[in-house]
Amino acid sequence: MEMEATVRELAPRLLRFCLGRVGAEDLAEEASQEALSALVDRWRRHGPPDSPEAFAFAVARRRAGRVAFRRRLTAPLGMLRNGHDADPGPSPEVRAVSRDRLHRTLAAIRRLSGSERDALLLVVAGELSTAETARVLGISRSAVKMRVQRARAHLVRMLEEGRS
Amino acid sequence: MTRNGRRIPDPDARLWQSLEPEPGTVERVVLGALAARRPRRAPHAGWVAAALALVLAVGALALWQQGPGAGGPAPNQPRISIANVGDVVVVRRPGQGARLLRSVPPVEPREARPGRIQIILRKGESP
Repeated sequence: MEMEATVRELAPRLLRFCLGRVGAEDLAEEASQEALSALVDRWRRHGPPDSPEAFAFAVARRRAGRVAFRRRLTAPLGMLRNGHDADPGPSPEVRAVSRDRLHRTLAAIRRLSGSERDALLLVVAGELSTAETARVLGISRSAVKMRVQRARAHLVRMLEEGRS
Repeated sequence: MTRNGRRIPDPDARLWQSLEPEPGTVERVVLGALAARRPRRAPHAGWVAAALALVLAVGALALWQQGPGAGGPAPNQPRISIANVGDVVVVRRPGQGARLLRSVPPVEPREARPGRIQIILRKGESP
């Protein structure tokens, strides 16, 4: 298994997962980069981990959680500095390519419970198998399946509500 | 929509497409990860401070136990020794040799006097 190929294959999956997890592209990029750097560092020092996917996603999940927490913590400061809501909202670039769908999806994801959101994002956005997801989350495969099903049902309902 | 030959459920496909990153972002992340050398993690500042505080506390305790007379004779070494050899009283101080204090003429019969008395004062004691 080649390191660079693995990194290239994992990068878009990690970015999707982190974007769903933190809700902002710059923060998702930061968390993904840190996770991949950790994987590369580990690979160079001690060889490839048993499951590079599980390793990278476990790191990304921790980093994304920390980044999201930091964002919540500094949001009031941003409001004071900017005089308006610190939520970055759609940038001109994002508006130009009409990312309305992204924002609606992110809003729906944010309303899921933490355990459901992580399971759904790891399986759908991160493209991890049920077994790998169970490994990352430290729960059984059946629990993963149950959480993903519940999250999917909630997401569909929320997106339908948003459309109507 | 299909992925790896499998049909993806509609909400999953929608979620997946919504979160699709831009190619430039992917490339940036890949190059950044491959190029970056992660800095060695420095020891946690809290642990360093705690270790330093412990060393200082042990040092202060050691100094305090030595007391203000540090550098003088050790506690068990006699500071002064007063002895009589017959009628002669001899005072000895460490490092200063012996000193004849006085010689007393016999006033009592020799048999009644003790042959030798020695008084030793140690640091912190009184006669």
